[in-house]
Amino acid sequence: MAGLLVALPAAAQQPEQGKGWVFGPGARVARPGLQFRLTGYVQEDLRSFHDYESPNGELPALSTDTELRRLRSGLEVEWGRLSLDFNYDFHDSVEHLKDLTLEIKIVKGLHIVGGDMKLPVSPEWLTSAAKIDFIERSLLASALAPGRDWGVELTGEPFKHFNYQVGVFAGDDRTGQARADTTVAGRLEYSFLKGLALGVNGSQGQVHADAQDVSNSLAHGASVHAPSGFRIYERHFVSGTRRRLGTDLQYRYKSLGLGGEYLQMTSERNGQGSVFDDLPREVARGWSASATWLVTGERKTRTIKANHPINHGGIGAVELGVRYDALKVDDDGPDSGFEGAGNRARNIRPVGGQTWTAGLSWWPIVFLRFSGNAIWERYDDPLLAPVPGQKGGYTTLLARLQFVIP
Amino acid sequence: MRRTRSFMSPALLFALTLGLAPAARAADPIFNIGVLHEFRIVMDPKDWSSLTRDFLSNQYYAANISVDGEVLQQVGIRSRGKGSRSGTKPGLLVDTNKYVTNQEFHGLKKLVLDNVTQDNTFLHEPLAYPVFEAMGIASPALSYTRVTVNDEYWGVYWLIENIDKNFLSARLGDKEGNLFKYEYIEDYRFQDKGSDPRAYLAIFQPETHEDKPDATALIQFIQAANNAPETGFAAAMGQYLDVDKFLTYIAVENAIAGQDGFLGLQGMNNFYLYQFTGQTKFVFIPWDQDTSFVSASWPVLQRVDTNVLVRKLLADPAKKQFYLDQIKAAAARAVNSAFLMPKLEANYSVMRNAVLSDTKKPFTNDQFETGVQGMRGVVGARQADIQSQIP
Repeated sequence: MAGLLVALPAAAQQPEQGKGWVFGPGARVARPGLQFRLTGYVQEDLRSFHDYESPNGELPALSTDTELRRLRSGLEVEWGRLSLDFNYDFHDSVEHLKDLTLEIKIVKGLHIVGGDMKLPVSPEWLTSAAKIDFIERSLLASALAPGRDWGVELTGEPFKHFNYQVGVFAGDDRTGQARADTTVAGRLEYSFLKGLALGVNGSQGQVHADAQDVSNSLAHGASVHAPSGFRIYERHFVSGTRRRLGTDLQYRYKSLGLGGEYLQMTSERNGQGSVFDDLPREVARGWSASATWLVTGERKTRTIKANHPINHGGIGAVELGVRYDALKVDDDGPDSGFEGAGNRARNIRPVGGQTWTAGLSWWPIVFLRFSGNAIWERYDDPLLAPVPGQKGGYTTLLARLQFVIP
Repeated sequence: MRRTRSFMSPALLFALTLGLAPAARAADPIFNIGVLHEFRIVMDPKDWSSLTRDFLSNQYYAANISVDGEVLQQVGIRSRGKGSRSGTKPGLLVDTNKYVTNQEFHGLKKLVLDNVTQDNTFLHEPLAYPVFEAMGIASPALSYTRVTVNDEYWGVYWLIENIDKNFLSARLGDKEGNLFKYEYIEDYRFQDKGSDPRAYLAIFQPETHEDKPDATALIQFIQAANNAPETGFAAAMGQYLDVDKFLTYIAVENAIAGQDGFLGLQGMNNFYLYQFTGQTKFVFIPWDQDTSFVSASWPVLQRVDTNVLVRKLLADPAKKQFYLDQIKAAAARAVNSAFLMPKLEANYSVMRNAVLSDTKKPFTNDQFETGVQGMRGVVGARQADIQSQIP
């Protein structure tokens, strides 16, 4: 892929529509009424962990030190009102297929999308991993947001400054252990000032689990891991309605980007007690706030393009960012009886954690991004922290090299 | 990445290498067999009901425990055992690490609470391990403990040292190799099961490197034991075993009249097998000796011809003589009244009253007292029986 990118002539950076087959940014081919666009990116991550070792010299289970994180390739095809989006990850050990959607643009206010796609909950989750502000997604996006699944979605901008996405899906994570059955999900976004957008989102589906079926012993609740990979919360047994509700606020002004997001997920635990009794609902709440600033003056958009890339004698684009995020899991029952960490606990021992992330990104050219993040983790329950008795702080340093076809 | 390094003195390393290291955990207060320990469990009563009802399940529950007043929070507890699984008096496995990362209790990450449902004397296993130790075979530490759950008395248990990396490190001086626990599934006596690792890993279950178990050397060992000619067999097995140590292990099993061990009545059972790091050499570690001392009259060559590995080793007259010598040595050193009777009486004294008030045990108090009396007879007569068989 890198070879393809390098081979593209700088002169061919601007697509020319309507003149037969023309190479555009990255690898784009266009002709009247029909456009093909090759997409993709590669990410290699490096990690370094500090302060996680216990007094006896042992480390908890954490992410690997080096990792080829993603190796994505895709194809976008547009033909009149139809568009096809296909994304494939050659490296993912669980599922190679990422997105496969067919979209029909009926009017501006109504597009119909069908296929395998992300459920429209949490803007952080809906942003491509190649374009998120930090190397790791926020706790709420990684632990509480749904995954991808087959479904049909209606989307569009029926009114000025108002966008919507609503859909019905076969589940809420096609390849996930915690998958719910048929799930409805939606997100509404209103831009009531230039650059300022407020969103609300949610989903609801049914999780079916039979506690008495000994052959099916997998728990379907939330699984929460810190950016370091440390397990914050063991997956619990749940059954019944799973509901997500969230809201978000985004503000972009010139080089500045501000964002905040809240997401709550409640899961019923019908019949999931140790004696097959109903348990209080599992409630997980997460929120995050972030700020980014492109110090080299580029406008903050989803895709960052350096005003002065190094191949034109500039220094590229440089962005600084900071994020705070937190997540808590508890139950909504009375806080009485034995407070346990077990996965059928009636009174869930509450757990939670917070992270501060400081980030630096550099786009020397449009195809390339270097990122460095320092993450500081802190845990609410000292007993269940990486080093028992020590709430924090735990530091993880991350670096990422990313090639992308923009 | 910052990691802690530990530096071991050359003298200690030398001692460990020679196998002279003390039974580290045996010296730990929680394995002091001279006192009756107090093991208290506090957990959701419904979880305990579930554990006793679904005692065949390995579902973990969270609990707080205290051992002799020392508290540990949020450990995982589940039912354990094979034939001894019980809902009336469940055997328990305590995983200190299940929910709390790197939580240890006296250097242990797992505690085994044996429910003693197959030994009406409560004495077999506590007397078997000292004999193994006396003959140089590393074996787990053990003590007696009362167990209460939410302040209800659930009887006398054996608190047994788990065979894990800590045990391996302390007793064998090596812990990064492959540890297998033999899980009884069928009557198996070391036969060649083909080249598919899954056939072996189903019964030799990996306890280390569980994510990437490596049965290569194990398969080679078993296939060599089956395929190597009897001539030079001991030398061939030397690649996989300290043959004399293995023969000593077998000798102890027959010296203590073990019914359900490597030469078990219904096939192999109750041992761990450890492959040293970077080597093809294995060592056997005894486990679950509650059916030992079944009789004072027990053939010293009991079932040695039923297992291909033992049969072929003993086909060598020199090795057979070594084996018999080790049985005699065991009788002289440990399987005798002088060694075992004081231990028996001390153990009886420690646990008697607690056993008598243990209403969960599957024996009557008369059966217990009669069993102990019978055990006195076995201990008193076993040495003479061995001597009569090997003058």
